[in-house]
Amino acid sequence: MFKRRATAWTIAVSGACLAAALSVGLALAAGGAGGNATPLSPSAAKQQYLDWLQQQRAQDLAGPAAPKNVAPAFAPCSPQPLPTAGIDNRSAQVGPGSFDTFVTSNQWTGPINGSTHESFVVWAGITGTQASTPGVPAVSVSVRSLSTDGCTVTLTRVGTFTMPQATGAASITTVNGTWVSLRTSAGAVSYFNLSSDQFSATAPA
Amino acid sequence: MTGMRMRRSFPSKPSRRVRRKAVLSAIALILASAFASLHTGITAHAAQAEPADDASFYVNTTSQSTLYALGHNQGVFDAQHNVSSQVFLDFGGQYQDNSGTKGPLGSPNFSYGQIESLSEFFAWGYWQGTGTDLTTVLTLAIGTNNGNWVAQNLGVSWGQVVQTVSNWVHTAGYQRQVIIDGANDIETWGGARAADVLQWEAGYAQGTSLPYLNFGSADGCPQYTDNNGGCGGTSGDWNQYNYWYLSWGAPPAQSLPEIYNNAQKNQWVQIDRYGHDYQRDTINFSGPLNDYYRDSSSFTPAQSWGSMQGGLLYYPYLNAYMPYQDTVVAD
Repeated sequence: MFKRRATAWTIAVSGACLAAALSVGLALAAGGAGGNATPLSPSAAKQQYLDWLQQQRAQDLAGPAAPKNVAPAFAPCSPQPLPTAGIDNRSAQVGPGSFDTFVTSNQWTGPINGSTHESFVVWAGITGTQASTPGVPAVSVSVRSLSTDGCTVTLTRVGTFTMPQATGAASITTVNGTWVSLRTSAGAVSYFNLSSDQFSATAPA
Repeated sequence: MTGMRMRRSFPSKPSRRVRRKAVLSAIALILASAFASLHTGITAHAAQAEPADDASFYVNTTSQSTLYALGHNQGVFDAQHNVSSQVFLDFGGQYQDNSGTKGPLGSPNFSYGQIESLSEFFAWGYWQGTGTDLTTVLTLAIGTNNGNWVAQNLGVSWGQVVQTVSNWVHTAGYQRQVIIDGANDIETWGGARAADVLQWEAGYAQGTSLPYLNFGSADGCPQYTDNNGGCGGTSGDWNQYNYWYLSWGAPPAQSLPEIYNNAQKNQWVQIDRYGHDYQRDTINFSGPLNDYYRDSSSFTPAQSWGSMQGGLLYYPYLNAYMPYQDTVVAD
């Protein structure tokens, strides 16, 4: 009986060893997690490019260095106006942040009270990521300021405001004065006041 | 126990049956261990220390003094800590008429001349900020995105902008400590097409021979498979190949991927695996990019770094060495 049991055990262990060895072989052949233990070399074209970069760098290091504390020459600034007012409805939208935090439907920019040096920038969309979690409809607001000489522009973020009790992504339909009219993909309509940063369910008078 | 001797009992010579069992068990154990270590990705890689978290910027000002100050700050930090850094300046997406960019996140628009000038002020600030130090090096990547308009002629123009700034750096004599690259936040942006970005890349390579850094995400790409799966976006032409090519496969392409969460880490590791398995060319990531100081619910710098490094180390055939890590902020 002992002999039979020992033979059976030997066959079982041998089988397990064979299976393990086979698995290792397959893993190596498939290049999976247990594949080549070292990264591959770049392609010939890439390697040629990287070698060229290295040569350039060596030349840079061998070249003369400028003295510190000496101002270099710069081109003069080119003044610019505020961007043209209007709604941007293009299919590709760059929002107020990454698409991982705010997915933009469309955006609007326009002067603040007719100013020639300050304008609102408003994005409408949905919070959350593009790929997964559905967020809530929202607008994000910033103020763009232009210096008097037209050479310096700064952007101040006002905030991101979510539409109460609504679902789906918000889009800007019209802008009248400081009122931004919004419609969500679920059909809800709301109005956002850029003066008070508040939503209203009823249309402004 | 002092003064006591442990008694050991040595059995008599084991039987053949027991010896055979022992030998077979040992073989099985060795093979199982080898398989397990391969399967779980345990490797001989030494863990690389986390590098300093360099601040990169969505540029939302045309103030030259601001850009100078930012470059100066980086120079002071690098000289004090004896480290080199990599910084991108994101000037937003290019206009179709090739007049400049629509600033990022609602920032001012920039002409190409302004982009060159602001980048030069940053470079000058760095040069001054390092003081007497002449060893630390800034890689300054001048960035756009593919969210506004993308075409081959715009790629040529961007390459020329990058080359112009690089020429200025050489003329000024800062080339020992300032390297100029291009950069592009390549994403789906909802409706952008990969085909257009491939054209942009071809144009960029005509405009300059300098590298560019892709600092985008890989929205909707597979997290667990690497067989050139499709990714997000409404254009339908984003896949693992396109991301791999635009991040490494193209000769000037370098990669600083957004690693704001675990899913993004998975997506980029799978893109790298795709490069290995189907292109025989793995990505040398420049580092992970985090967004923690703009979105505290996303990965911290340490999490971003650790996640990406761990994801790459899991597969021994991927290159887990990353010289930098960046965080993006608005200036």
